[in-house]
Amino acid sequence: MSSDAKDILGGLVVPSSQPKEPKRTKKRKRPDGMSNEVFGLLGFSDNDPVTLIPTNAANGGYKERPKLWRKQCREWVLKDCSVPGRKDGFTIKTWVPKNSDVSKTLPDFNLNKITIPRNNKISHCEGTWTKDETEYMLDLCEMFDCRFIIVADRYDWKVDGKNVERSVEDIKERYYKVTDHTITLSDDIKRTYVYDAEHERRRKEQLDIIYRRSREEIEEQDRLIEERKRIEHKRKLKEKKEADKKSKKAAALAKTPLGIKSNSGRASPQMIDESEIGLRAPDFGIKFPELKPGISLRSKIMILPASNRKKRTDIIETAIKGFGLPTHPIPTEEVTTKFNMLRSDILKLHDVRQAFQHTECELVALIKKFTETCPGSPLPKGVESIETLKRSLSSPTNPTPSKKHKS
Amino acid sequence: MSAQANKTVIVKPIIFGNTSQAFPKAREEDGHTHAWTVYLKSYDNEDMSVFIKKVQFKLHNSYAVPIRTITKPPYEVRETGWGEFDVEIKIFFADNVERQIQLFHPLNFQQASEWYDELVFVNPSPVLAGCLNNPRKFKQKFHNAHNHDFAEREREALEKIGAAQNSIDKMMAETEADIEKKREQIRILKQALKKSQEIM
Repeated sequence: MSSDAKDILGGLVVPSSQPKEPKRTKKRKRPDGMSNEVFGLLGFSDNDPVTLIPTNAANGGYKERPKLWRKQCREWVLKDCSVPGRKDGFTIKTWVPKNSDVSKTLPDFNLNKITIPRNNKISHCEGTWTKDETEYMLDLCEMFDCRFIIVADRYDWKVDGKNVERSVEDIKERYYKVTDHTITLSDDIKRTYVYDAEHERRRKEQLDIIYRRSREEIEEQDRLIEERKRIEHKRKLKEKKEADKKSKKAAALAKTPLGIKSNSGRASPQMIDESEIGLRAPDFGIKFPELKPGISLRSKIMILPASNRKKRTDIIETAIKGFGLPTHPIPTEEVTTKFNMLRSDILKLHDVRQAFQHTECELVALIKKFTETCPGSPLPKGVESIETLKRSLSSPTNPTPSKKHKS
Repeated sequence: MSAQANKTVIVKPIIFGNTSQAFPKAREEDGHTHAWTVYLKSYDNEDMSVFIKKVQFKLHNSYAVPIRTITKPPYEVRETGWGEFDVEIKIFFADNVERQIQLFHPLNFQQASEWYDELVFVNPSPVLAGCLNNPRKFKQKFHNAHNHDFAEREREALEKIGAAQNSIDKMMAETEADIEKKREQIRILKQALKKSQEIM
């Protein structure tokens, strides 16, 4: 390999093509930091490999090793130090480098007491809290740096010789009520901290319950949850089936032309009172979702419920377009409620119109029957002639109100 | 509706949309043709950071960092691109207990497109209620003026809906009266039929 490289490089490689004589004097020196064994493996011969990369000749081409271990270790000593926050001569032992200033090496022992500003809210009594007790509570908070768990533990307040029981939540609630507690988040955003004691109490209660469950109870509960899921799933399926049945029934009811039925002579399974359709129709319409607790978007209330069938949504859409209204108007409160009512009414109108057509059909059928049974006799007073009815039937009223609306 | 009496409902109107600007010609290195800004702001110049913790804009997946989180106003993302897509805007509220809200805004390069909507808080948690009840307005005009006159739009929509409702009501009354007439005729005919049958 090396000879190939030399061939290629040819005259470029000057040093190796030097006469033998100076080579002997220039004996390879073992670089610093390289062990004898490794150096021996290199086995320099007359055909030295040619290095094309310039090397740092100062150290035999090797990086200098860091000389950390040659330095002496610092000495450390165990020393007594006083704590700035304590004035009773309390000391703690800690390791410090020898000959260093102890007070400077302890910046972390900042156990200075906090001070809680007392404002006039303290005298404002609330529940069983009196001013004195509040003061006492704040003293404790100061003493224990607002570590409320410790405060609650050391709480020892007596009213009429009886100990007052205060939980962590009670103390926290009172504390945040009497101290102005604003948190500065960034330059100008300040938030008042609201302590939701009721929520905390419930949270702890739940935690407590969960924590105290035994293994059997956990298994039992898991089983119950599974069971409930299954039951709910079943119930949902059942409800869906029933709803489907109901809507089918309603649709069938609206569709059966009564006249034809009475004509065919087949006894109808259920006797349908003719007034039923007319009465029922106005109940149709849309049930829009109501405002749920929590956060929602106003525009969501305007969305048609998914239970509506495609045909019915189409009816609404064409009608809305006919009135020159957008399908999604600006969702303010007033617009939303009115728009929803309008769409509901459009559907109702559609249903009423269908009912109207059915009654018309029935009327025609009856007239035919009448002329068959008593031929020759004139129609009773107040009944239109079949010709006028037929005319109105042949030009059926459009179910969509868009066409009629031209006034 | 009757249950509304004991509900506390707080409404915060918002505006979201985008503005865009076309480059004179497509940028060579990536073919981007437009610079656009998608934003969410308050309708009445309110500082929404009081009750909103952060807003997440989810851009198209082809962007190197598709999710942009913004913690203080103005809630907006400036980007460049070559195509329109739906930006998903997620609003996180000051109280983690509350659900976040999701909005979709289809980017529009043809014109500035803006949507009006309302955040409706029904019985918010005490923490959030505390934030909501201390609203803060920006001192000077913080946001640009809205691109559309939404008050005018509302008036227009109400007018149209009112007109439509009137005509629907009218048609409803007419149809019902017609049905009544036909029923009366059916009743008469049935009686006559009965009579004729009795005679026979």
